[in-house]
Amino acid sequence: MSAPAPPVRPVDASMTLLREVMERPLDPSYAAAAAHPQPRTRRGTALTLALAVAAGAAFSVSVISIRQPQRESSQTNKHLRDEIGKRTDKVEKQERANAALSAAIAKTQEQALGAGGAELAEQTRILSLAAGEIAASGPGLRITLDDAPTTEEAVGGDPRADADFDIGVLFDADLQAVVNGLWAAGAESIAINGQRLTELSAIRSAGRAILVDFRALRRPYVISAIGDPAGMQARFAAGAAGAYVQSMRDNAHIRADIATSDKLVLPGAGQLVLRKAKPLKATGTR
Amino acid sequence: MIAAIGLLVGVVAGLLLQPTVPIWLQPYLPIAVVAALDAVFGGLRALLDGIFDDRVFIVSFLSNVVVAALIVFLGDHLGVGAQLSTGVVVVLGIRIFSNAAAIRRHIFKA
Repeated sequence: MSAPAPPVRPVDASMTLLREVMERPLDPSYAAAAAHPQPRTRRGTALTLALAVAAGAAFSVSVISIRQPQRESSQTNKHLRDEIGKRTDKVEKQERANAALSAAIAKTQEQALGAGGAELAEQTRILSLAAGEIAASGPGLRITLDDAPTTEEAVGGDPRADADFDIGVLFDADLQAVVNGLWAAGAESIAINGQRLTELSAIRSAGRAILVDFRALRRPYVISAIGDPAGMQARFAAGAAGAYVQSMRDNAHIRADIATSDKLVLPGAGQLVLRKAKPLKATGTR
Repeated sequence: MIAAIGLLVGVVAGLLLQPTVPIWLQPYLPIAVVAALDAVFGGLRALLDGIFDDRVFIVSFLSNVVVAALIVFLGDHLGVGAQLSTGVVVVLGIRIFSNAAAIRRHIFKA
């Protein structure tokens, strides 16, 4: 008598879980219930019905509320956009009020100085023009810079959203180079997208947005510079900044357009406040 | 049959009333819906096999949903919520597919 043969193990015994999933998708209790039918009671039927209604309601409510968060997030988005718009309006209103007040100050100054102080008033005007406090107008250059056209279309969305370095995107350093080149070429006043540059201005970046005096700029970047148009253009093109712009145009496909203009109007930056700097007594006001 | 009718009535009632789901319940909804779908397909297949049973259907529906939600809950607390959810979705997805295939064989004989 030989010992009974050991039970044959299926070759994929270690994969019972997967086999279970693949081969018996139907709940075995259906077969069990069919094999041993139980008599139906009225209470059982009522309970089944109630549970079925509850399950159905839970199902549809779940499906609806899964779709809800998108609506909520877009609502939040809209709320934030509204907020930004409201605050920006407020800032603009205050800036206008600021400008009006500056004008009033200038007028009052003139009146206070009286007829004898006309020379002083004129001097004040010239100084604040040079400082960039009041609006300036005159002939000059208008340089329009924009990101390479491919970045926008290739990414298919907001080119600023991509955190990776992108060769076709302008940075604060690029604007700084152009602005420095314009100053070197003899520009007397410069504004970027209507933001007047003063000796206290900074061109910086936050994330991928370029800021001038902490105001984010929107593409395209228009740099207006008052000065002798022809001479300034020639000196700018001959200088390092001209070569820089040319190389950005050639290598990174940055869009750059330089045009002369007979009359540019640059807004004033408003009253500059120096908190620490004091004039030396010995040399007087000048 | 009672269960199917009840389920339909519940779905319509949910659509009409649209009550708000408490926020703490919301992470469990997607997986619960997939589990419920699995039970529905299982029931449909059993119906075509001729062995449909109201009681089994309701019990499998509710237990599927509760277990799925429980797994996600557990996973969230263990820090593997996303992976566990993926596992559950894969398993339930396979079941739904094979039940759907069985239903298709019943209906189209192919």
